Amino acid sequence: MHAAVGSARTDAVTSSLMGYLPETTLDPSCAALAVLRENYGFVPGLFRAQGSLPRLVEAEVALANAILYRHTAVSRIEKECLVLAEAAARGNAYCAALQWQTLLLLGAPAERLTDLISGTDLAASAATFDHTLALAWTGFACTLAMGLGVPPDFAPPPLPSRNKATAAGRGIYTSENTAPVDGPAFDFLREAFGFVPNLFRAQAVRPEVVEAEAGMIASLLLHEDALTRRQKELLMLVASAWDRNEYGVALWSETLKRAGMPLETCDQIVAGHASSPAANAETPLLDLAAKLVGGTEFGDSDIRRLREHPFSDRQILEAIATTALAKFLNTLQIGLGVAPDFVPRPVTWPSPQNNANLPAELPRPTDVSIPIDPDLETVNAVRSGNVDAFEQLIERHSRRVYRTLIGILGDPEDARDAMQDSFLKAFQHLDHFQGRAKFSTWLISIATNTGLQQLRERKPFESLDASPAETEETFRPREIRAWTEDPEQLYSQAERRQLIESSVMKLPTIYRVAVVLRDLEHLSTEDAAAALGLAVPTLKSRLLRGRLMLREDLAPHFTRRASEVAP
Amino acid sequence: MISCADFMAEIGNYLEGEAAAEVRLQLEEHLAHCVICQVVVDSSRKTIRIVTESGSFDLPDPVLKPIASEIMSKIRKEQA
Repeated sequence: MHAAVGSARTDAVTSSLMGYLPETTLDPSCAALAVLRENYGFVPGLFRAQGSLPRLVEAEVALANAILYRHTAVSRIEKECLVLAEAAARGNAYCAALQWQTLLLLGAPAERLTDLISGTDLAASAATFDHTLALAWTGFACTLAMGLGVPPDFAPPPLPSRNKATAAGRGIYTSENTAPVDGPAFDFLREAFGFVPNLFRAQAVRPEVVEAEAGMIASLLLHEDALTRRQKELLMLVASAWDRNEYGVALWSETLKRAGMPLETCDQIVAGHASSPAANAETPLLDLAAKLVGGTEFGDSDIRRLREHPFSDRQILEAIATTALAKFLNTLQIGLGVAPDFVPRPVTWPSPQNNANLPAELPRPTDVSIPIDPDLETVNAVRSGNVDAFEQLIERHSRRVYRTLIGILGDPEDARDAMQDSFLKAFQHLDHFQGRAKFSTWLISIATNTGLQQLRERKPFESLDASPAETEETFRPREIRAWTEDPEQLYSQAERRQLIESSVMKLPTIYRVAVVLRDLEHLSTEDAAAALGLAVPTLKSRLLRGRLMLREDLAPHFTRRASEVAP
Repeated sequence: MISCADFMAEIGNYLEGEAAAEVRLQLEEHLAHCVICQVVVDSSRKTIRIVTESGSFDLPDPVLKPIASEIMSKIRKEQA
C-alpha cells in the first residue's frame, strides 16, 4: 500500500536534456511510472534520466517501494525524513530537494524539515540511535562478562551454539529463527552467487526487500546488453574497495573467481585497478566507480572521458547504477553487521598513488592516515627534536593561515597576531596531530578556531552561528548594468587585487568568512562549512550572499561604461 | 514562466551548476527572456572568476619573514 502524495504535481518536463546523459522518454506502459506518480505526484528526474534502461527503472522502483514507500515498523514519513537528513549531510542537492518536496506534500511541517537539513532534529534518528547504542552496550557488557569470567546471576535461557549463529549468517539486528531462507528470491541468489550470501540471509525477516534486491541484481548484473557481467562485477569489486568494505571485496572477489579470475588478480585490482593488466580495458569505467564512491568531484568531463573511450551512454548509465548498487549493499552490510561469507582477503586498500589516473587529492574520509601528506616528513623531523624544521612549515602555510584569519577577523593587524598564535598552538600541540587529515587541514582548523575565539572576545555580540532569519529574504540586485566582456583587461593584477580586497573587507563577517574560505582559500564547500561548524546549506547561502554583495560593490569598476574610463 | 524573484531564489544553485535539471530548464527559460537576470548571472560569474583568481590577501615575503622569525624565536625561547 502506497502512502500517496496525490497529484499535486504533474510532469513538468517530458523531453529534455537531463543531467549528464540525454533523456530517453520512458514507455508510458512502464508500471514503475504509476508507482512513482502515486508516491511523488510526478516522475522524478532521477528516474527519467535512466529512460534508456527501463528494466533498471522498474527494479529500482520495486526496491524503493519495498524499502521506502510502504509503512513497515517505521512509517513512510519517518523513513523519508531519514533520507532527507542523510542526503543533506552528504550535501546531495538533488536528493535533498526531492525529499524536501515529498515531505511537504506528505504533510511534514517545514520547520521540521529545516531542522532535519541542519542536523538538529534528533527525533528523526532517535530509533536508529537507540538501537545502535543498545548494540554498542551489548558489545561492551558481553566483552566485560567474557573477560571477567563471572558466572551468570541466574540460570541462562537456552542459547543457540555460537557456531550455529555464525553459520546462519545472522545480522545483528535480525533473527534467523522466524525467517526461513527459501523461496524464489533466495533460489535466484543461490543460483547467481553459488550460495546465499549472509547479506541476504540476514534480511530474511523482510522477504519483500530480499525479493526487490534480487530483482535489482537480476536486472542490473545479469543482463549483458550494455556492459558484460564481468565488467559489472569488476565495478562492484572496485566500488567496494574504495568504500573500504571488506565484506564486499571478499564477496565480489569470490564471484569473479567463479568466473575464472584468480583471487590474486582480484587483490591487484583492489589495490590499484589502473596498474592491473586484467582490468586494463575497463580502467575508465573503474575510475568512475572509484570517483563516485570516493566522494570526489564528478562531472561532465568524467562522462566525456568515458564517451571518448568509447563507452555508450547506456553502458555509462549501467556503470553508475552498478556503483550505486555496490554503495547500497555495502551500507546495508555495515548497518546490519553481517558476518563475512569468506575469510577476508589480505587487502591493500586502493590509493591515488597506485591509481595514477585518479586525482591525488581524492578525499578518503575513512583513511587512517594519508600517506601523501607532503608535510609529514617535516612534521616528524620537528617531533624528533629538530625545532628549526618548524620554520619550513611556517613558510609553506603562513599565507593560507593569514588569508583564513583575515576572512574571520577582517583586520590585517589582528590577523597577523592571530597567525602567530595559531602557529604557536600548532607547535605546542604537534604531538596531537595524528595524520588522519593533512597537516595543512589540521593547521587551518587551528587557525579557524583561534580566529573565532578572538572574534568572540573582541565582538561578543557578533556570532557566526546560523540565524533563522538570514536565509529567508531573497537578495535583490540593485546594480544591473552589464559588465565588460573581459573585466581582467581593465586593470592590472595589482589594481584588481586592491579593488577586491577592499570590497571583501566591506562584507559583514559572516559573508566575508564564507567568501574567503571558499573563493580565496579554495576550500570545498564541505570543508569550509566544517571549519566554521556550519551546516553546508548555511555556508552555501552565505557564500551566495557574499558573492552577490561583492558583485554590487565591484560593479562600478567593471561595467561597460567603466571600461571607457578605466586607465 | 517564473519571476525574477523566483530566479534570484535559485541563482546560488544555478551558479554552482547544482540546480536540478527540471529547475535549471525553468531558470534558463526565464533567462532567455530577462535581460536583467542575464546581467546578474553574467556579472556574478565574472565576480567569482576575478575574486577566485585574484590571489588577494597574499602577504609579501618582506612582511612574512619577520613574523616567521618572531614565531620561531618564541618557540625557541619556550623550548629553552
